[in-house]
Amino acid sequence: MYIPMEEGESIVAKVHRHWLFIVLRIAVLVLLFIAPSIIVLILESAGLVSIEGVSGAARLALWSLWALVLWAMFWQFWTTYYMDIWIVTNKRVIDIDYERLFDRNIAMIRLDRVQDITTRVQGVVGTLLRFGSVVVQSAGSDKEFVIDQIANPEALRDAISKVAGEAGTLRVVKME
Amino acid sequence: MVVSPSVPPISAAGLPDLTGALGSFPISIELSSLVLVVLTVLVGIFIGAVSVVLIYHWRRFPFEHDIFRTAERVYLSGVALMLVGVVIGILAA
Repeated sequence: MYIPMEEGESIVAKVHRHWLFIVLRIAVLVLLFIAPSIIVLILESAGLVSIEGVSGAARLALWSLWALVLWAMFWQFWTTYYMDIWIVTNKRVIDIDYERLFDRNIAMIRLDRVQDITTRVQGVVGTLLRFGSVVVQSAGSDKEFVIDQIANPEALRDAISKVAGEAGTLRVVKME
Repeated sequence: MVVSPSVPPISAAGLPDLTGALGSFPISIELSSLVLVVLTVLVGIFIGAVSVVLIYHWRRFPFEHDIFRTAERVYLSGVALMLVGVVIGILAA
């Protein structure tokens, strides 16, 4: 994937999703990591299963294999999280949207077409952890450009409005 | 041809007694080295495919070269470490 920069174009900000969304996925992996031990422990204490026939070395091999699978899953999650990025340049906003690896959607909006920028912080968790959305409305289009689940949306709104301010009549609306 | 279903004996509580049908407990689990080797091959194929996909993406993404270069090193080091654990486990089993 390659997004060519225009002449005189420079990156102003790069924004990822809030860290909470990768932490939730890591928590699932941690649960999966300890789940087999807990299940075997429960089944053994209930007298349903006996693993005395499995040697310590075999357990080490099994544990390493399971850890290897989860390790690969972690890096897949992290890569999807890290590649799902919004890039603000001095000429446009680029949204590289990664749902999964090999499943991406790239959208762009030119700053001289930006009319409104709205920030939205919803819910108790969003307010406490300071994450929310930035909605960019372009001129001559009903489509909204939504930058969702990002940390500190006000800072991004300010960055976009700063570089877009000279392009036209930019109106900034803040909603919380 | 008529097949008559086998009816399990009724226990004192009035429920079907399935003890014999379910086998004896606890079920003893044993793992041979061959099973471990087969599991390792399957996981190895999975890890190989995932590694190719991840490294392909990390090397093509233009905006975060430095962090993805570090990620590649950490990922491969972790894979190597866990493979050592697998090999030691299989050899000792």
